[in-house]
Amino acid sequence: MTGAGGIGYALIALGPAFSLFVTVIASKPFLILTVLGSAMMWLVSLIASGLLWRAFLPGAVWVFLPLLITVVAIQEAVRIYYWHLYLKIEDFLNKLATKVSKQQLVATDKIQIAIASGLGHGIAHSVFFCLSLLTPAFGPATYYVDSCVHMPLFLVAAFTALGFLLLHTFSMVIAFNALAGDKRSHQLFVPVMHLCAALLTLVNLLPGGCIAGVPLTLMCAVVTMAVAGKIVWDKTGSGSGDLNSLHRVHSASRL
Amino acid sequence: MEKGILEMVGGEIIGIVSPVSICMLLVVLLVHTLTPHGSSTSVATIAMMIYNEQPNDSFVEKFKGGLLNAIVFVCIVMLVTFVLVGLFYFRFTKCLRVYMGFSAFTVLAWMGGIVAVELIQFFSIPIDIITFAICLVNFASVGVMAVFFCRMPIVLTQGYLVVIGMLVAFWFTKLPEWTTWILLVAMAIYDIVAVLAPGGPLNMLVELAIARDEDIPALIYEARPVLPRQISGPPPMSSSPTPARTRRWSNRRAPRNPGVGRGNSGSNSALDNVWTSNGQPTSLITEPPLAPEVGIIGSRLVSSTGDAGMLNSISTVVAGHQATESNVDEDTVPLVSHGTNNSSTAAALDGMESGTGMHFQGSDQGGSESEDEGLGLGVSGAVKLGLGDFIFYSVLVGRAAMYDLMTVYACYLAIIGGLGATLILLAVWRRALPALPISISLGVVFYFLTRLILDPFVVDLATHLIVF
Repeated sequence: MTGAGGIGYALIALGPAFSLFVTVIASKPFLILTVLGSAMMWLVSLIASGLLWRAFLPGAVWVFLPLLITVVAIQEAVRIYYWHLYLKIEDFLNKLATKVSKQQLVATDKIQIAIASGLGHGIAHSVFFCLSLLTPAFGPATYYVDSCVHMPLFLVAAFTALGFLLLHTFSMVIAFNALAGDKRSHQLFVPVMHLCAALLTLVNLLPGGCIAGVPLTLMCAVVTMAVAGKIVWDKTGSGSGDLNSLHRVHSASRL
Repeated sequence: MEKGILEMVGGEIIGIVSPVSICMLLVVLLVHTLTPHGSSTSVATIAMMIYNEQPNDSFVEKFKGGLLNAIVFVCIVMLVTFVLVGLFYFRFTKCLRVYMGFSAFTVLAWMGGIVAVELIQFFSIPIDIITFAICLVNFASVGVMAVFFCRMPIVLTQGYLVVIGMLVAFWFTKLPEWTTWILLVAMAIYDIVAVLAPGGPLNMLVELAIARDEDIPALIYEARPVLPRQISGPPPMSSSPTPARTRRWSNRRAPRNPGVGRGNSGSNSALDNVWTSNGQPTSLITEPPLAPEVGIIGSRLVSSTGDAGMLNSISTVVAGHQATESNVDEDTVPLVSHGTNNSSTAAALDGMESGTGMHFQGSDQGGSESEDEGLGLGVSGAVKLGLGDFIFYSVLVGRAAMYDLMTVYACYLAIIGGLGATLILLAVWRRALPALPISISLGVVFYFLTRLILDPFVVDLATHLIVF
């Protein structure tokens, strides 16, 4: 519905991503590259899933269940692969840091890289599942899907994209932390939460389901944010006790 | 607090990814507003000498026609490149510079004028012909001067280069669809051959440039040096090189190459201007790095990176710590490369008798390190990319925009990924590498994958409100 509506939908889907980008990522070129790289990996996983399931769509409704399960499995596998790549890059960065006599990566650095990677996934998701649909939204009319007469398609897509953006961003933080510290419970939390969120969107298939579907997705995002926040708090807050270890040591004291 | 490693790495790559992204964005915007479904009027260009594609031709005919068009185009480009190599060889540099200034003016005035008129028509902007003419002529003249002849704030030069790339790319998107795709692939293949094969024109040009230690007047986009060397103390803001750095540069260059102004390049060695300009080392940047460069050459891609530049860092670590400690502390330049032809205006200048409105992009020389230890010295952090790359990337994305925005995003990611991969390969292989093939092939693959597979997949899921 006109330019204002279109921009509004885009901001709902991407606003938090934009502010995260500007505050955390824009000042560090390496993080921008991380965002682009992880967006590309997510795109590749999406194309792989598309290749797999293209033949079955548009098709019967029951197709969605196995589709979602396999697609989430592919994405989680990509996440693990990405983690291994990250280990190599971390190693490389640390070597470089020694070479140019800078400090090696500290906890806040690693969390920032994790946020950037998750943001890359999330932005790619939002762009492909919401922004690319928004072109008609800039026109004079709007569109309602049969199963959801309460909200226009664009609004539902925007909210769900927002939920999944937050989910992707923070589950990457949890995943990095869990894989580094080898914490089983958190390692399982990420794929399980992802799968739950994806399966909960199946609720949208029911007539009038989107009333429940959208809040449920957003709730999954909030839960993920809470867990990630707790992890980061434990790492950097009062839990660790020694704040100095996380800040960069002044150069004078190092020499 | 001292800045960590994360702030330092990768600045140069961003310095080149940003203008490429801006150019692509501008082309997508232009295409989206002006010709969302492809150009309705067919444009007679060199690229369509043989076959004029009609919408209702059969698949095979379109393919064959497109192939013929592409082959003819590539042949013409090759011929013109050889002519330019010849001109350079016989030292007709003045002729080259005048010619390039003329073609830049044509692009800005003529193509820019046509695009401006279309925009005025689309948005119904009230403007009269006299104002328009004055503005256009001024715009074009300043553009030519900014790009070739005068020292201007680097932002202005960069802006004009991006605008030139955008205009030529927009012109190319007016070609019919099949021809465009086949042309892109053909140019990528030509690029590989021209740069890597021993008899290729660009290869010869590069070797001539190295042998003579000259620079070629060319359309190259150059990013500012991002990170000054940390000689002492904390590094200043990433976008402003310190004066100490420029002094180092001039000290090293001046005695080594007194004759640089004698050039044929006509571009004043202008190191003397370093101090006269208001702290902006524009001359530092527009002057291609001279002798103390390692002879790594890649077509269309010049990257000389600084201390902790990503590329330098890759080569540092990959090379297995060959460099001694002292080397790493210097501004090291593992990579120097340059651009190549830009055939784009050749096609666009249909009426032009010369038919060879060719911009020449390229060059810099990289002399082999003579005295230096290991990775070599040089300027830090100035990344350069030939304008032909801008143009073909933007053509690909512009053509993708004619289908849907989803293809645009996919192609954008593919091209940036390809660019990054090319830069990394450059750091690892240390030899001449063309910048087009990886990006274009990735872009084309992603375009077709997205269009055929991803688009129906995602749209079907999204309209059922299923997301993952």
